[in-house]
Amino acid sequence: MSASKLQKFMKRAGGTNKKTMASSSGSSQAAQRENVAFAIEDVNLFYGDFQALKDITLDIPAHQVTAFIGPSGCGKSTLLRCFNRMNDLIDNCRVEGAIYRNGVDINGDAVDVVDLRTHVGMVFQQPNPFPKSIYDNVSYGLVCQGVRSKKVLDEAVESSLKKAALWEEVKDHLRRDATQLSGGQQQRLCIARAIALQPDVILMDEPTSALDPIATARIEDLITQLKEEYTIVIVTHSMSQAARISDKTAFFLLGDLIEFGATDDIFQNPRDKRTEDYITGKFG
Amino acid sequence: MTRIRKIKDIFMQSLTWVASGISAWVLVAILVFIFSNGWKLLDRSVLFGDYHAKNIVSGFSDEHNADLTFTPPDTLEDGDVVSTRFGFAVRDEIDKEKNHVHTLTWVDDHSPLLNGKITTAGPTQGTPAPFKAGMNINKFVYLDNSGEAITVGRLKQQSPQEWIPLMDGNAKQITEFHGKEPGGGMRGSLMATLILIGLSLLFSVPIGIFAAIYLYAIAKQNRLTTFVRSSIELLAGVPSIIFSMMGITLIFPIIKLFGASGQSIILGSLTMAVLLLPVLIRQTEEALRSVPSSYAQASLALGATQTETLFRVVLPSARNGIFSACLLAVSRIIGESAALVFTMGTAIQDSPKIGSSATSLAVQIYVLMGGENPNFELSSAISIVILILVLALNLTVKVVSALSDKKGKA
Repeated sequence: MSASKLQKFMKRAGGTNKKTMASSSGSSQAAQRENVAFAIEDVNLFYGDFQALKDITLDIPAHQVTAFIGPSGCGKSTLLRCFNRMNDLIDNCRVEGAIYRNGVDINGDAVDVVDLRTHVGMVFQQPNPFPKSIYDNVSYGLVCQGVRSKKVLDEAVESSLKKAALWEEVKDHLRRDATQLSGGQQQRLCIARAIALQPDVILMDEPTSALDPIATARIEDLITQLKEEYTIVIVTHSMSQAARISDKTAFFLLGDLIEFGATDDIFQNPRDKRTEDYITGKFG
Repeated sequence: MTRIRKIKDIFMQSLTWVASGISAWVLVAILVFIFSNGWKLLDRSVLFGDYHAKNIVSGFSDEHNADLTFTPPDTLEDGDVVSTRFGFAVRDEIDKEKNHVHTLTWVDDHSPLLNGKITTAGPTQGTPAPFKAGMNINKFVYLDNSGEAITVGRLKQQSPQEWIPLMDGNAKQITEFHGKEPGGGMRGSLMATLILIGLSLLFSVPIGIFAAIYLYAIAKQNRLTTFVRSSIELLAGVPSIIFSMMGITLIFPIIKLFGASGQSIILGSLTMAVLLLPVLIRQTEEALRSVPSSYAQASLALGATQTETLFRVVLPSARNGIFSACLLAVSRIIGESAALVFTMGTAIQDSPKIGSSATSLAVQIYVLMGGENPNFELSSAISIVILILVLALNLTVKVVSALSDKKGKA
């Protein structure tokens, strides 16, 4: 008990050092690392007095699918929302530690959060298209960026919908209200909407939990295609989904990162007993 | 179940029946009263006619061709008295203002009454002033065979049955006929009400929407915001007569700087705008709150700023609610009288102007019922118009909210 506390203290102390080092001797260390989309270093997150994330350190690999798994309330969605700073919207939320993207701490003062969110797209648990036309949904981000050229928008809408495997279904009625689409189509529209901004990363917060199995399968196919171009971080409640589509898996429990590694390793040879218990369904 | 419980049960149930019965009965009684009094009066001339009667004096200098006789059409009813010599028919009746009048019910296409010209001296002398069906005849002055001027008509206390044969038999030339276009219409008030609605919304809707956006999204949740919010709540409960006084003491000095001269539609609509603000702000904020937060999240996650999110996503999604709020504001304007009596005045106008005093429909009722002999009939006719307008607005609100509910569920 006391040993683990000490360990944590050491870790935290080390983390502080690392952090100062990173900011003083240049955040180069993380920047130089190739194939890392996010380098997370000693992130602690508090909602008021409640600590939701404890000393999280991990690297999210670029152009791979990383799955966050764990029981409800383990902090996996919270961490996901750190990557595009959606936690800023929560009043008493406080983040410590650093998350490096291209060598820059995204929580730093110099970072423009609006700009960050155009590079880090997000897809939510409930499909949430705007009550606008399909076209307006996809072009929304670009229009906010100030793009007015109809030609550019048309092209972006078409290519995004194609990448999201929705083009064939909707190309003849782009002016139709997006809320009339089926749940699965709506979620693919939300993916297209994020893709339209040409982000590097797409965050997915349980994107299939509100969908039926067939729609889920389509989204999973899509995710596998998309990882060629984008880094994907997906939070999922479904272990089988994580096993099917992810390259790396991180298991969280009560705000701690218990285990992180290649998905095959996590599912076949979990190093931690708690991971094994969770995967085999002993709790969850 | 014991007997006592059964009796108690029946007693409580009958209480609810009685209560709902009374409310339903009162509502029906009001409707029956208004419709029975006003319905028979409600026609084109009431809806679109002038309120003030217009006196016209007309006549002709030529002698009338004595051989000419007119045949009345079959459509005339009992009580219409026909002048075959001059080609018109008159009926004795009671007008909207409860006076005895002799109303022209038929004027032949070739009747000399259509050739009348204004005979009174002045700049309008000689201009045509034909007498048409619907107008009231007060008196005729004609020259008989001996060249003596004879006056006949209602002003001489004669019934049409008396004076028409007299004139048909003796008149050589009609020198004057006095009549009036009947008043009692609501066109002026209807127009004033429309202008009032337009101006009030013009002032209050933008301010209301922006204030609601401020409270919803931009204001920090601190003491000041709580204070502003509770002031708005309080303001919504302030009686409208107090707003009327505020209009005179606070708003009038301001618009006076721009040359306004007293009670006017503009003062009334500014007062109404202030009166409507609390309701508009509250309902707009409500509408904004009912927009799912997932829309705002999605927008922010797509790199939109807070402001873009508000104006591109949240506000458009709340537009049905805001539209409903505006419609309810309109029905409030239509029904309001107390706030307008001091600010817009009580002088009924036939052609209202923004800068001068006029009455809305509700205030016209106030004026009509306030005199020595209250005019129930015309008031009821106006009430019918008000009720129909308000009912239509409420129905529209219901339809709009039903539509947006349906959309929200889809």
